Amino acid sequence: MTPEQLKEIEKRANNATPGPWDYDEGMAPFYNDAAGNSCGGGGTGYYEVFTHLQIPDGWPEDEAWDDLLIIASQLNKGTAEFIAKAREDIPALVDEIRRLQEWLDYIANGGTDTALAVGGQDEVDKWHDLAWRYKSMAARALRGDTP
Amino acid sequence: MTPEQLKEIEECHSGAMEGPYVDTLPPSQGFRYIGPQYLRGMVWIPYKSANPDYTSERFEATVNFLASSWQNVKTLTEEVRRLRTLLEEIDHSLGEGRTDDLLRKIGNTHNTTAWIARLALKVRAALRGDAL
Repeated sequence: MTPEQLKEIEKRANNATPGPWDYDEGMAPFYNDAAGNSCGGGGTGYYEVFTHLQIPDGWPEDEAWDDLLIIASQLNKGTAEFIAKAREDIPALVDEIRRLQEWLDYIANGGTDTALAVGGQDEVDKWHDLAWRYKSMAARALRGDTP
Repeated sequence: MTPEQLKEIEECHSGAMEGPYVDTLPPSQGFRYIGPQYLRGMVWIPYKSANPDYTSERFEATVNFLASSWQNVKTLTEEVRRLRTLLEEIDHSLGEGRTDDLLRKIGNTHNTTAWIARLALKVRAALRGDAL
């Protein structure tokens, strides 16, 4: 994964309707089945993903504010749960990748050269192979290689 | 992020309709249908234009987010796994016994040894989910 791909995913999340999102079974006062027969009211069998919008600044006090926003509907339960959670999971995964990359960058480009430079020759010889192994592995990770 | 949290995200992802999702219909009547290619129309996103906080730009951005969510979570979790595997490989290469031995040798005059021992601790902290 390239830094550009990560930024693109992050941008999509930042521009979407703010979270948190939640999900629940859709309810309807009246609805029909596929054959057009009335099924009365109650749960539709489909799930909805929704959020509550905050009242905007300057919204007239005497005007009703509808804060419920349906993000998506006609979903099965598993997909509704996935979409609702994805709103926060995707930014969390982006943060986690950056955190791991920061560590690997430290290993690949930070301490190893310093350690090799400041250690005495005996120490360098002793740990040279091990340190280079770390450096090589971390560098591979940062290039996007598979271990 | 702990390994348990990552596993939870992966399980939630596997419980959803399999993607990638597509968004091929032109905007119409304030609705948009996205979903798996073989089941187009399973996701219905109403555009609530009466709400001033939900502009058409926000609606389009939300559609883009939804349409890409399945593939993005798949890509992101795979990348986290890949990076964690690498850190685990580094951690494993130190080995329990070797790390203990290194820690015993830490001293001001053993700069390289001390650095590698500190590295061992840092990699383990990273795998636990600590900040750098």
